Amino acid sequence: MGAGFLKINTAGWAVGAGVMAVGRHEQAAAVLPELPRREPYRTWPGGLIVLAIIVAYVSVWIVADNEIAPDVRPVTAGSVLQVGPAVSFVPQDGWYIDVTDSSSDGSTASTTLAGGGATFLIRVSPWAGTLAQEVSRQKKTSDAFTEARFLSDDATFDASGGLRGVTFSFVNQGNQGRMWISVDQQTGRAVLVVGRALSSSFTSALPDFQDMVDSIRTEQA
Amino acid sequence: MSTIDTASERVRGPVGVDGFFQPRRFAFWLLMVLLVNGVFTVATLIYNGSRVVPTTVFLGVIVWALYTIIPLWFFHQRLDLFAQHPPLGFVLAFAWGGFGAIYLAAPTNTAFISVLAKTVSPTFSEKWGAAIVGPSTEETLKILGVILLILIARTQFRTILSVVSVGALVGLGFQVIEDFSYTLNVGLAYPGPDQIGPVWQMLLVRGVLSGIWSHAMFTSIAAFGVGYFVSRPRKPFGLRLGVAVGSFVLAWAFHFFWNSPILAPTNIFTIPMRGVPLVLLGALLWWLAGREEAGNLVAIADHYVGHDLISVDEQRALASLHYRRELRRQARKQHGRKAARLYRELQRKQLRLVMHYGETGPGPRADQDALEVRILRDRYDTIVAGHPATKPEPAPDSAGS
Repeated sequence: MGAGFLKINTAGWAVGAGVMAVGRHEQAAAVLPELPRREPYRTWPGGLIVLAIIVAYVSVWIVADNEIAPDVRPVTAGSVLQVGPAVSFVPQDGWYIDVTDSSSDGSTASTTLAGGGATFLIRVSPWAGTLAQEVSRQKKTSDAFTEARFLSDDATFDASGGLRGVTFSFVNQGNQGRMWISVDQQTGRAVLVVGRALSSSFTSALPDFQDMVDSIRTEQA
Repeated sequence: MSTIDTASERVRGPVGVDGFFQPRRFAFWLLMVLLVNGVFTVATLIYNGSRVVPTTVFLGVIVWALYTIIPLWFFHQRLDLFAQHPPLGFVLAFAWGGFGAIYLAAPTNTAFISVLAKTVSPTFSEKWGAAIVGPSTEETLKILGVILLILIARTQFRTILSVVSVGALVGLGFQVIEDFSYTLNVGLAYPGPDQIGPVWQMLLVRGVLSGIWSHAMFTSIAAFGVGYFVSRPRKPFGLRLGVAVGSFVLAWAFHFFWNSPILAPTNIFTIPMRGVPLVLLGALLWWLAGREEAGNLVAIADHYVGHDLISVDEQRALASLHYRRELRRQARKQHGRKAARLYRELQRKQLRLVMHYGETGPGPRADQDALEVRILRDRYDTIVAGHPATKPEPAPDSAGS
């Protein structure tokens, strides 16, 4: 130790106090801080409290979300439902509108119907690309994030209400579904329709899906 | 390691600080488990995103990595922030914010917002959901990470600034990974096949106009209270708890207003404006924390270090970033750039010397630091003596100046 150039005050190592003038903090009395000690201590009580708070906080919202039923309201068969300002459709009898999962957020609007173990979604959003690009994006997104597998039955459709585009089937996690995708390049708009049901009830839900797709009207139509 | 107990004192542990690698502590492994889960979640998100919008993901990773590196470099170069802790402490803090807290916050936020939509109304949830859910979930999870880090190595956190700086890194980690996930979401929902546009849009809105002061500052504010709690053991428990809870509530309130429709920006010029009160409060708290830190450093320097190693002027500069810069400016003006660079290095060594004294007191480690300061001082004096512009009364060059 270079004692020649270090001022050492052993009495102050643990609890010593020094006061000096320190520039802009000249009024403040600078007290020599106590040197830290590497004393053994337990972290499991504090760690368990932290873990308990995390588990309690996260689980309370996830459990509540699972337990609280979404706000579903019966729809009148034959009534017209609007999806955003430019698209409308006629729901079939026995379906309920899922108010919680339906939204009209700026340029994108969506409506979800539920009934008999099946869901039917219509989403209208701006799209500045082609139909093929939108189909490719929807397939990739479903494949990557919902592990959907496509049945290679892509076909064009031309609904009686005027909607036209590409439709194809998929399966994922015990569900079977069908998508209808339409792009209107003039208005820069894409319409995505997804009908999904448990594999066992998909066949019986498909006619309703098809009827509702046929009922879709767009501004141009 | 030195122990200096007298006979009358009870036997205590050796003087020194713990590192952040503590495999024998429960809190360390809890942090690790949550971090590993978080890394896996974020890696899965990146992998899935790259299957749909690979260019957005690739460019997003680069842009947000650079966005992180630049402020970290600034802190490192200008604020001596990283002299506070070993690098592992900051790495763990950033990782907690970016991986641990994000991984827990994402599903919780979704569920919380969904509960609001179901119990109040979808319109209310759409309008106020982010303002209520964001601060409640995110501030809670971020500050719990700070508490875990304190549990892992409590001797590292002796001042408020040491906790605030870790809080800032937790917030920065959260902010950057959240920005990246927003970029990916915008890329997935972008109204066209363009994969580059979403990255620039998000960088402009969330990175440049919203600034780096959102989450980093929220967590700094909450961490201030935790810092007060842990660094003031002799204050009444109620007061310490009050300051800790009050700081958390303050951070929550700022986060609430930041997310709320009340301060919703109407154009790109009003986006930065909503951050002004936050920056002002954050700056005030950082200044208060820095003031305490400065007082400690000067007291330690005054107690342990001779003026041949740290002159009176330099000791004063320990308490002021501005004055440290001023001394460097003088060195450059009087003795040239090379001398100024060396003087900066000398200042860093001096700071490290003082910090090591604060951690371990006198001992081999401080001796080594003192030797390095002395060598740098000699080198600096040699350069100053050989510089043609050297004046007879150099400012920051010699002991006791």
